[in-house]
Amino acid sequence: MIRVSKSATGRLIDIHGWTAVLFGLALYVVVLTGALAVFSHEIGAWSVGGHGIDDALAGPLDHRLSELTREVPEKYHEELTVSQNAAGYLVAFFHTHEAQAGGGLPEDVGVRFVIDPANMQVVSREEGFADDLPDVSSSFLHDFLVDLHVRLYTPDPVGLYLTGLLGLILLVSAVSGFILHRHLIMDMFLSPRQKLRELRARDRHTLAGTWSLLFAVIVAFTGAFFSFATTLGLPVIAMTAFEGDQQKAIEVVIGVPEEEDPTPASFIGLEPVIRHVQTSEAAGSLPVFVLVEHMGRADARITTFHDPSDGALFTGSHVYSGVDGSYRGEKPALGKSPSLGSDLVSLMGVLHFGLFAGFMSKVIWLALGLATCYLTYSGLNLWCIRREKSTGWRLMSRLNDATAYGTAFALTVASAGFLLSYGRVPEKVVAWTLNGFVSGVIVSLVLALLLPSGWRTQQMFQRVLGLSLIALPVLRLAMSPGPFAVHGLDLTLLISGLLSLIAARRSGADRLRATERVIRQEVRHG
Amino acid sequence: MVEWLASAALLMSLVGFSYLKFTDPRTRRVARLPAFTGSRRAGLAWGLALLPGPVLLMTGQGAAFVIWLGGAPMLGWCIAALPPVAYRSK
Repeated sequence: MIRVSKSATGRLIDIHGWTAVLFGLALYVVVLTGALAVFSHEIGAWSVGGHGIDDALAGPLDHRLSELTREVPEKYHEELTVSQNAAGYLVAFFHTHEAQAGGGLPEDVGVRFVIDPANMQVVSREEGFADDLPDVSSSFLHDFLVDLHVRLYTPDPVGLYLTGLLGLILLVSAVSGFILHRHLIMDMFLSPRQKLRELRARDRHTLAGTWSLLFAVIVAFTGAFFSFATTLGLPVIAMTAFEGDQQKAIEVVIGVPEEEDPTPASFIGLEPVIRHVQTSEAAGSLPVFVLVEHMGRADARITTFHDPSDGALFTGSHVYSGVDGSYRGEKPALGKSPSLGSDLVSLMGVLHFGLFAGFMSKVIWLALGLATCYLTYSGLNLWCIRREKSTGWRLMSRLNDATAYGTAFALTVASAGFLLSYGRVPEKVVAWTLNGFVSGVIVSLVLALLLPSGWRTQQMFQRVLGLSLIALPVLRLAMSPGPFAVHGLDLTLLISGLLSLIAARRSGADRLRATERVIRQEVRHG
Repeated sequence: MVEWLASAALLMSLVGFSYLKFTDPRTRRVARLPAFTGSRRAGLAWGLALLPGPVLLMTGQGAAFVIWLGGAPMLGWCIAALPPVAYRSK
């Protein structure tokens, strides 16, 4: 129990409540999309009906890549990245670094190929600055979900500032809530009391806050770190320690590049390196991302990036010579040799993304994310219940419902837009997905404005969300060739939809019982 | 291996939390249930619930520890949110 004076408590309640009022709705969107993004890879695969080739990087890459290397301008040989997107396609980006016409820091510019791993045919070829390249249509649903979480689908660096700020807001709310709740241990197992609506809302919020406090602090801090690290942290470090030279700061943090040797030399290719890195002598697993630097030169280098192997927490990266394929060892996340700082940065990734132990860690991180969503929703709900005599706060309550259910509903409509367009008009996937999301948001806002505040609004949203969730797997089966239950998502959507409909039915029945109870009490008291 | 270790750790915590919930005096008082008879070994139950953490850390099972760190509060919340009516018959 933390003892604080009455005036300090009042100030803390104001801070806790008003941060929720001002930022809670945006925070909810970021946290919900973050929770779902834990399964973004599965969602991406589901959206295209699944794909049979999960290990495209272990396949025959070199023949096609050497053909493409000859096709692109030589300046783009400086770097090549190869990875497999959520839809199963290989994405190869030959690029160099140049400043845009208006100046600024050098950016990636080059040619991006999307390749079908089944026959190694090029699906699309795009040239330009990385940020200006059109979205890859096959993985757009995945990319949209991640983008909405990382930067609220707004341009950099504004989006990253916004989400970083929201991370700090969550941190402030968690800490102020912790100080405000005086009986943290005593009330830890207290079931929400059902008799009074305000008391029930308070107990629910308190219970959620108590048990998800640790995760809220972790996810808030790590999220803010990832948002601000490159947008604010690096420039500040560069200004204070490197006289404003960001490139020098990056080199020191990431590791000073080896001395350059532009002497022409033949490139070993990716296949022997990928074969070796899968042995126990190196990573023991297939890379998820490969970087080639200075292809065709004596200083060519290949770096493979891996998800954590069984039992390990951290991701790994391994370095090879690009000329003879010799193994140069594991590279830490930061710097050139293992360090505490590098481990701490890796740990932040582990704690924020929850991808370190396959399905089990993903399920738990999804649950933790949804718990934080509930915390945000229930807190704002409690604040509005306490002020529901005011029209403004009743409207806020409806907006809270619209955001809580409406964001999930809008994501289902966005998914429907993707499914409807991907197979028939793939060039319009982006527009259909975005329009679907915006339509879902508009429908939610209209419902919130038309319906009276309270349980009827929640019930309507639960029905709408439930029906849309059930419709998604039906639509997916009709529009894409994959079998039922790609990654279990069809089944998960059906069950979630049914649960939402059951919740709507129960909230109506609960309300009816509560009304009957009030009538009985009134009759008893004459 | 990681999944099995984490599951065993979570099960231990679940047992500890369940005992604490079932015997919690405040929950029983608010729900107008009779007070728990017998000595309430809350310290032992907390120990059981939290023991997997240090054990997994000390044995170098980092991944299982982080799964437990995320999963245990979720289980605790589920147990805590159960209405007291669920064990009223006892």
